[in-house]
Amino acid sequence: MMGLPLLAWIPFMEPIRGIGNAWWLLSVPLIVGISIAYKSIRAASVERFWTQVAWFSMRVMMIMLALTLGLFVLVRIVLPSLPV
Amino acid sequence: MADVTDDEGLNWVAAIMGWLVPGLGQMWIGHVQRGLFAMVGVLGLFLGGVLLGGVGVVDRTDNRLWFMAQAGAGPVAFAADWVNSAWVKSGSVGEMLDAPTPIMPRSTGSAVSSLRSVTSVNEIAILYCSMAGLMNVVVLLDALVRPRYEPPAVPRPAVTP
Repeated sequence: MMGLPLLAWIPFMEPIRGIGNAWWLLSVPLIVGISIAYKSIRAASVERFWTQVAWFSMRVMMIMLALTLGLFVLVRIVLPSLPV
Repeated sequence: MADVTDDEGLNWVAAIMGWLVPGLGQMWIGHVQRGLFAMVGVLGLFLGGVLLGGVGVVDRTDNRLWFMAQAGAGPVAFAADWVNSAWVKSGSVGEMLDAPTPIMPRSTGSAVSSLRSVTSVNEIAILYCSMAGLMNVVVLLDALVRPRYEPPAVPRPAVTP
């Protein structure tokens, strides 16, 4: 069913369709893009560049995941359990 | 053409070239691979944002603050804004829909293009293009101060009489 609306899609002119509630997955290519630009100037050597980008992206994603879990615990568990 | 550097070694030509084409500043001073990687990162982010949210995510009038960040990506941001104004917002591509109230504080007209993105996709697409601009500012600042690439010296063979 997703193929029909895509037929009329004009790339770069109108928004991509079918993202729906999976929009947060778009943060992964965003992080990878930022990592490529960052590592292009900060890497001591451009040898094994893509390995450095992969490790850096992974670290950023892990930190974001840890922050997400921490905030989840704070908002959903810790704060509701405090006495009013 | 000789580099234009001041007493502190700032390479302004490389910085300006880096704004015109992301990564070109590094290439200009001999760091070709670094320049290519920077180009892939910055232009990948920018084009990814436009692909996700359509060219309407680059809007100098409706999203002025975001555009200030996006402008760091160089002329490509101004070109995208021009396409948005000339084609999308004017109704040349797509159709114009009646909007009972302006959808943005600075919107001028009471109609909005059917191609305009909304909700989370719009927000993250704007973020992609803005991060591209901000990362290019970092990249061109690097080109401003990075020393010119010096190829490793090849040892001369000893001359024996």
